[in-house]
Amino acid sequence: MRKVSALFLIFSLWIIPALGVSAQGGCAVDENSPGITFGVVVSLTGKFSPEGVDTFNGYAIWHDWVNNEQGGINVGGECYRADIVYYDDQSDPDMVSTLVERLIIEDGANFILGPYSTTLTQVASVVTERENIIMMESNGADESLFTRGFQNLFGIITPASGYTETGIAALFDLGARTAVIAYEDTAFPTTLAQSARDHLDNLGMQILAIERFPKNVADLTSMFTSFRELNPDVFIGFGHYNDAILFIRTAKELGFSPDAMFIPVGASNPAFVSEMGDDADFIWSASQWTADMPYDDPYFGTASDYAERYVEAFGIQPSYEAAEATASALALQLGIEAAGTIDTDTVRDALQQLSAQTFYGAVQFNSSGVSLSEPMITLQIQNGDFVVVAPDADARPVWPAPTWEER
Amino acid sequence: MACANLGRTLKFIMDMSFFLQLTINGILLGGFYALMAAGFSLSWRVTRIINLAHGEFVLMGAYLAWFLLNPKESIGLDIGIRIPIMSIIMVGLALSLGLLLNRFFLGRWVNHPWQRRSASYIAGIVVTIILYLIWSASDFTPIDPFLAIPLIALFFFGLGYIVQDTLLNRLVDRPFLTMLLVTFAIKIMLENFSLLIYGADPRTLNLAYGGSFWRMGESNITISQTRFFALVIAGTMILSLAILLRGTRAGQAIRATAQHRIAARLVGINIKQTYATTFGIVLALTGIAGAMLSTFQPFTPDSGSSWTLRAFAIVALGGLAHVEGIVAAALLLGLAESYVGGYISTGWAIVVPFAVLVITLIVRPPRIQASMMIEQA
Amino acid sequence: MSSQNLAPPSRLASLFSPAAAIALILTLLFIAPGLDRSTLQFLTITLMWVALASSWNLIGGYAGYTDFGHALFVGVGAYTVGILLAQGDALSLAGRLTFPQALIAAFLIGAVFALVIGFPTLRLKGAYFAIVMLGMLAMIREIARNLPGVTQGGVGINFAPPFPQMLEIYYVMLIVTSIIFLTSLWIFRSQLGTMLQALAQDEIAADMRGINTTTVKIGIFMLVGGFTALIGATRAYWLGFANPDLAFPEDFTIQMIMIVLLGGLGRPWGPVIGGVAFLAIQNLLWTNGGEAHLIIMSALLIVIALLFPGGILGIFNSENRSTGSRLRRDQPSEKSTLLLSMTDTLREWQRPETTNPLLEGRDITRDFGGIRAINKINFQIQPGEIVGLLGPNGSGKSTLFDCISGILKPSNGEIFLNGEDITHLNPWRVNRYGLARTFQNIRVFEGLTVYENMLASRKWRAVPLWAWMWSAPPETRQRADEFLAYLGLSPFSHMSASGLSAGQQRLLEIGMTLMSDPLVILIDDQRHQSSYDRRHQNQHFTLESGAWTHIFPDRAQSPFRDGAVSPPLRPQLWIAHRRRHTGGSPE
Repeated sequence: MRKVSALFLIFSLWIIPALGVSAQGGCAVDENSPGITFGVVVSLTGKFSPEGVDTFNGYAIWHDWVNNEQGGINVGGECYRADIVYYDDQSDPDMVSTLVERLIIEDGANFILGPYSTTLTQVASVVTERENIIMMESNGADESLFTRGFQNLFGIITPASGYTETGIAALFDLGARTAVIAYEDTAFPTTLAQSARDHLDNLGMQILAIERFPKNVADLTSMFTSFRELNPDVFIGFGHYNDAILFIRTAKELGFSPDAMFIPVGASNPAFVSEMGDDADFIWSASQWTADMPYDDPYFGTASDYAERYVEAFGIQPSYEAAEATASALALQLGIEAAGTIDTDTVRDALQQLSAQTFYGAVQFNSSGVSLSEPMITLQIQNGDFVVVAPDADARPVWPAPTWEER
Repeated sequence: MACANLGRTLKFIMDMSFFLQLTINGILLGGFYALMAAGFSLSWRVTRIINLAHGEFVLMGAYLAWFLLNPKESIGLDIGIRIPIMSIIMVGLALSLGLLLNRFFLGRWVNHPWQRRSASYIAGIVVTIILYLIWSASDFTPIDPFLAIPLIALFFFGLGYIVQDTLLNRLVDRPFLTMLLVTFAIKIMLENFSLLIYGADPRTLNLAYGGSFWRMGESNITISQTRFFALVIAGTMILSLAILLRGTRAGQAIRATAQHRIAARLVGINIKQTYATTFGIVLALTGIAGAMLSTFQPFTPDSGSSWTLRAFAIVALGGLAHVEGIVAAALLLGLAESYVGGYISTGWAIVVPFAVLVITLIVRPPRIQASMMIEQA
Repeated sequence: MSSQNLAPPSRLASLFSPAAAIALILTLLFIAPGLDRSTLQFLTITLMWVALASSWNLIGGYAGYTDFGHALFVGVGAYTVGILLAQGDALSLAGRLTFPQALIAAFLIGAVFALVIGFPTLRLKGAYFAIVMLGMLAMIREIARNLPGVTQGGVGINFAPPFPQMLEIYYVMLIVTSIIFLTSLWIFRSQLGTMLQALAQDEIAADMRGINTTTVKIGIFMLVGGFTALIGATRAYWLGFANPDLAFPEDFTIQMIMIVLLGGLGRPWGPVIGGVAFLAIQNLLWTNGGEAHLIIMSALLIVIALLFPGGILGIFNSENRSTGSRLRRDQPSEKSTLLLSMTDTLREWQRPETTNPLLEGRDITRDFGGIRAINKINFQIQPGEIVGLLGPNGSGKSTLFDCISGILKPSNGEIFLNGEDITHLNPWRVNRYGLARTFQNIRVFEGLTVYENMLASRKWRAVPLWAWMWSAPPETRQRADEFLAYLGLSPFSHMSASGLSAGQQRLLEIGMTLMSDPLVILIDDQRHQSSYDRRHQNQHFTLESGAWTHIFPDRAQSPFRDGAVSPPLRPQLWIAHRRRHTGGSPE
């Protein structure tokens, strides 16, 4: 349902009506205005599709807002319309490379809005680096992306260490002493697992097992069997949305019921709750952003304003990936406006000096192109709702979680 | 830069319950593999066609089961797609029913071929329409994959019959390269059709009893219900296959054709029809396997190749001669994957079927090559 | 079989192919700086696919070994370059090598991989080779994923900037493609090409004609492995990233095969034509059909496989292969003088100076499972003898021949040729020691012309390794001419061997045995080939017992039956019945 309405909406947004809505910059764009082309490559299908679609939706929200409410992008006094050309990369790195090239060479993209996941961003960034086009990436969060000396890559990320810090501390306070970790063997989950291990070590918790699984995995039975034998207090799983689903199903099938299952990525997506139903209860996860956050900006308003806007467009609460995507696009726009031109080098300098408040939090890029966000907040799903349990808990977490048979 | 090797904690090798659970998992998996490979080995044995699209047919069964369970679900599937899928299913069903009636059942009562043919196909169409009406009257309730087995088997039987008759029969006396290329092309086509229709998302079935399990007493050992049912179905199908091959006239004809095509023809067996029937059975088995698969594993359009290669590994290991060989080899493979996954890692467990295939073919080619030589004689 | 096919192709035409190739390459070289990005990209991709298809063609087309897992060498090249050039803690060499050096390393590592993989797998025939390579590709991909210490596993290897520009990659790809294509063109026209084609047609017969099939197979596989690794390395360098799925792409293999088939399997220009056609079609389909383009491509593949197995080139060259550019140099030498009569030729050749029996068998036994096909056969054949091997159907005559010639190994016993123990030798070795044979069901190379058949059977023992890359010398060609003339097959020299009648094919086979200058000829079951032109026989086949010793399986040997000079045939061996002792074999 989400995908269909997303695409439908985007199509309707393409035909931008000349509403003449006057906004901040005094701009009002229509079909005849000059346009800046933003190339978008996301995973609308494939393993990363749930997050990819969220990312796309985030860009779509920004696109709609900037053209219809903001009246366009104000570049040195001239008003430009934001045009999006997008392709589906099917979660395939090979396609990403081809498609980004296509966007730049054939579709004339001036800027690229990045895909979901570190793996795909790795490939895309090589192309943009070579072609000297700025890429604002929104959801590929491994720091290693930014240590390669690339000039044209920018992104708002939470450092990997920030994903599990509060959650593990909270679990420790509740009495957890042993843990097992499972992680997908791509860059980002690997870094997450590393930092989780460090956190656990610092607290003196015992790590009973750390297991790696490949991206295309379909069966985790053996791994979870060994986890069950080890009988840990906590299970921590790093992957993506579809992996989260697989974790729960496998655990349920084998009767593996640790006191807590902590799945930072994937389980904080509202779609996860609707797909898993009751099985999603008591799962711990993490998020960079929820609609209750106290951020405020002159563009989208408060965090809850943004959430409302999203619900109106797509019928479902926004995941943090969608919000992050909108924020990244917004940051890029602000950078272009500050630069007063679409020339890559000038925009790059402008971005590096940018400092802005958004509904998503503060945005400030360092010399590597990274804008660091606050550490993630830890959530637990209770009765189908996301409840903040750390660092400033809204409610008590349910600990230990009941076993599968008890539910 | 993230170092990808984080090190692991050693597993206790000696723990009995761990071993037992892995064994149970392996048997559940292996039994299913036997069904998956049974069709493959049958088509190879009888028609001498190595079907590189086998995995895609398995997936087709899985997608069919998914569709039957989610007829109104429109994650990515809007009505523009659902209608063609539905039509294809109905046409396939009608054709299969017609085929079966024509070939096997009405022969006794209606002698005249045209009358029989038209009666069968009309009956097929009528029954299909009735079924559709019943289903739509109940507002398209989701059909449980296990209950849908007869339907799935029927659909795939007809599909197999037609595919063999139109396409694969042309491959029979061609050089092997042609056979490999054509089946490979079919694989690509099917893969991309699935991609086009269903998208690249991994899909799983949301069954009410999806994660349920039985626990053995007070111990840690669990048996997943869906996998167990799948195993039961697999066993039943294989048993039926064995009975079919050994106890019926049709089965005799199939075995005769497998052993010596020319002699079979001389004895009066219609080779084309036998081939078509065989492939119908093959796809029926394969489709059921796919439907079973969907109940406990996520699947994507490109997971087909791993199934084909698994089937290969099993046939390489178990030989083409008997069904028992396939069952044994399948169980071995399932156990191997389970043990490797448990004692070493999930990543290495994925290597197992490919390694088995490569090593078996290299080390023991005579077993299969002997059958290849018979073909050349 | 129309006569216009029999005219030898002109000398001028033989230069066309390489000239055209060089011209094309130079053109591509010089127009590059002036092209726009889009065209440059299209050309680079086309070049890459032509290169891939060309290298696949060498193993799949020339040698006839259909490799369904070829993409694994792409990955080998990708990871070699990745490990050598990437930053990070993968290998301490990082950053110290330049890309050209890494390319050379990729070639070598690719060749080594091919050697290691080819050794066990090239023993498999046909479909099994295809399948095992398919499995090998999947296996190696997953192993790469599971060795993060070496390959960074699923995380992948990031290449360090600066990244190559498109023009740079274009030049590299052009050079790589040129190397591969020109090499394949060269091989096609050389004796190595002859060997490969014979191998592809009928490996057992090629063995029997003295071609060291093992070395040839593995050698070409190593070359192919290295070439493909080069392409993979360039591609990885371009992408700037390598992970198991990217480096070992699943759908590369089918595209390679499709291109080769589309253009024409087994011919050097096939991949070029196929590559251009394929990419043009794909471009067309992408812009119009989008995601359906793969479906259409695979439907195309089915059509090609079933209806046009010869590809585009096959449509134009539907007669026999020699009217193409094939083997322009291997035509009858115009300098060939008058044909000597066979008898004169024979008398000039050496007779082995020895008192030992020329061919000796001791207690030869061969079992097949529980059945004993031949049981303790003993015989001794002296130089200059003509021996008949007689026995009822099923008594094991052909089995004995197979054992002697090395196609089967005896379960027990020993065989000596001119004093050398040939019991366990491969057929090509046996041939090189001086034994040639014909086959019961006539094995000639049907896809080659009569003339090429003869050249494929030359005395390979006398050919050093470096000579493989050249075409046959004049002496060999003259010899082939003379034998063909003697056998009455000259008018058919440039006809495909499949166009001959069975009797003519039998004669050709005999000619092939003569080409290798053997000490002993085994002729298997003459009688079955009934469509003989007897007059032909009588005129031309006045074979004197000269330098060779023959063993014939049957008494009434047609060449000798009504011949003018018919040496007495002493039935030397009787194999009366399977499993029984053979009758006496007088010395």
